[in-house]
Amino acid sequence: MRAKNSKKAASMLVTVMLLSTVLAACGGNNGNKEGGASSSPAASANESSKPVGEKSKVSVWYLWGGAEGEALEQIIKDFNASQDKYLVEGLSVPDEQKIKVAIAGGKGPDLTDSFDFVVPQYAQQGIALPLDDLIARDGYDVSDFVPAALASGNFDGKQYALPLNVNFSVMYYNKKLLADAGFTEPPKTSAELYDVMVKTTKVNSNGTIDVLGSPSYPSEAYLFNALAYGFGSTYVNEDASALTFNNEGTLAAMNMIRDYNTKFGVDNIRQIQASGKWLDPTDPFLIGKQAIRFDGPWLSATIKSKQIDVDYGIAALPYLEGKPETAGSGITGSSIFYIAKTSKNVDGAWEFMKYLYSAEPLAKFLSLMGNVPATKSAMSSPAMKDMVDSDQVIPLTMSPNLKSIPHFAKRSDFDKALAEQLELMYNLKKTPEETMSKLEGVLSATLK
Amino acid sequence: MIKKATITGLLFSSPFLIGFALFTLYPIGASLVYSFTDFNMFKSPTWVGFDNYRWVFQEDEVWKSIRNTLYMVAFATPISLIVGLLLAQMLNIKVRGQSIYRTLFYIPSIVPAIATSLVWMWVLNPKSGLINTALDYIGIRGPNWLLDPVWTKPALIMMGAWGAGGTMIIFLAALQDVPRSLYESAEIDGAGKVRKFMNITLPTISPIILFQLIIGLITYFQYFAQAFMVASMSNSGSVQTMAGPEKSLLFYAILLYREAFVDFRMGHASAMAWVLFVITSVVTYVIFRTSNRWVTYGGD
Repeated sequence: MRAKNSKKAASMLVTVMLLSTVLAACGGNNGNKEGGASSSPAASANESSKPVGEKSKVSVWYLWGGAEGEALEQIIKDFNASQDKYLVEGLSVPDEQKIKVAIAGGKGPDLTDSFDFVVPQYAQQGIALPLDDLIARDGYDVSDFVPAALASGNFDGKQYALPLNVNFSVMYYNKKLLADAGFTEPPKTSAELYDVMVKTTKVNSNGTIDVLGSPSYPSEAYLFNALAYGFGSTYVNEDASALTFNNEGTLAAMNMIRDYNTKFGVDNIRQIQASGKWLDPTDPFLIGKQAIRFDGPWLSATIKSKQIDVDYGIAALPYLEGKPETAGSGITGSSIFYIAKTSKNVDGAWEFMKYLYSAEPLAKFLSLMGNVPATKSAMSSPAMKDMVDSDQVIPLTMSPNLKSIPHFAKRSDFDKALAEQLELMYNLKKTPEETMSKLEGVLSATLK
Repeated sequence: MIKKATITGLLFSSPFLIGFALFTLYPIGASLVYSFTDFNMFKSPTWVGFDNYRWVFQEDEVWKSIRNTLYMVAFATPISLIVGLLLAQMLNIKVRGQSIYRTLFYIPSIVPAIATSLVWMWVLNPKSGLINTALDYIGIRGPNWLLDPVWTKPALIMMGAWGAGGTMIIFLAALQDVPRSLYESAEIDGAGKVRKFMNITLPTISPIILFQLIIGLITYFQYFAQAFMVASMSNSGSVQTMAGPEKSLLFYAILLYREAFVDFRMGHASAMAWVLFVITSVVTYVIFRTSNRWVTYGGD
């Protein structure tokens, strides 16, 4: 009898324990100050000697890993040492979907990063918190930001994010490959560019490509916007109320890709694209098998940090033949930081944000990443000298012809439709004319 | 009055019952409710009736994803069954080192899908990959496996066949269960190897084939991990859409994932999940109904 009773008691005990575990797992949403499950071993190790009790924790998740993640961790460490109120814990989470789902479930970070083109979506979905009240409360001076970059964090009159950098493509060229083909200077116009692309392309006896002359690596999809905007195109007007996509710049970009792909074969170009990994030691530009590359200044940082032996030069993107007034054109975008709508420590996140965007930390962080900062104070900071090729890249950011795509509600649908139709054109399944007329219809439908 | 034994029984099974209710029954019910709402996880859901189901049947991308998925179901399922059965047949032959061969062929199926994809992306590299290099030796120029819309799905089927070890091991068990006496009497009657395989082996293991067929169909209806990896790792520029070259890798589960966790349209995603459930159920039912024509259950 006793044995039976104790068995019963044991089973009850087990059941109760299991029940409480399950319930605890389900009901952990009641706001304590922990701010989610994040904890960075690095941050806690650094701070373990200090009394953590009074500091309120701020969790910062970022998409970067490797050297870039370490650069941000350095800034976090500096911030934690600079004040006694907050303890920032950084965590590398390279999967944006994961971050969004975590924010939705209230278990996400207080502060995290993304790209400016998500701002309309995140604003409408309620992922990002508007910063206007915080900016007004502290009288935070946003005039230090490059205006176009600041606008990229704005949607429907509210500031949802602050831009970190001014991202844009410059033209990298392999000096040796150009010299071998008889060019002493990089191409300045669209016609010169095509001439260089064709003459530097080296074909094997079986028709496959040995050296890719065109900037089609990593992919035409990666190239297209820079090529079209470099030729002076814009896709929509300033308030995104009308489509301006059908213009000579866009058409010239389409035709150039069509001509090159027709001449050298889509299969051969795809083979090169699939054979190496972007910014990896197998990247064709890094092994001297690509003559022209449109990419951001992080390519310089990669070449230096991986100690790659390639003799390259940097120049502005070529402009459309006969239109010298559009020289220095290009398309810009920004990486952004935003405070999660479900943040449990908005003040802490905002304090760290202000610190991160002040001149020295921002310059220190971005010079390590090989990015041009989005604030004037950081751009002129002496720390920027550490950025590889800053002397060549930063002057190019001053061009008045650099533009960005203004935000509108259905931006992600716009990008999807654009990519889908252009892909058929790259693969020579549709002509530029067919693509243009199709796109005019589908793209217009995504504007307000 | 509930019996004491019932209470004890329920208490003992409560870990499962509670887990099942919370983590299976409740999500299933919730997804059914959400499939009739507009819900993005941040704002509270609003009732939209059958709008989401209408969207499922009208959206071009859904149809594209259904076609892609059916391609995999129609080709990958039989191929992986055939490969699995052939491997099992070969590994059933008594040779020296039999257990080593069995282990070798089984290993790929315990490699995680993500690792398999990464290895295969290297194997399928059109310039330096193993397959195209081998083809090159015999004078054939291999295709751009993962960037050519015609070849992406065959490449994935190959990856699937490589991991057929799980299917193989079950077939192997079934083959060893085929009574020797049947083979012996067939041999006395003068049956050859092919005849014995077709008339003895296949009918005897047909219940196992049915089981593997249904499991295979369900797996390929939900096909996700390998395609997701390939579509998001290659340089095709389709990272955002996760659809692969010319949407050739836009499978139903990938579109469902994209609707749910990229675009946060939980209503669409839930409706898609229920439609997939219905499709899978119908196909399974049809196969069950027709199975009595080709499945033989030996009674002892």
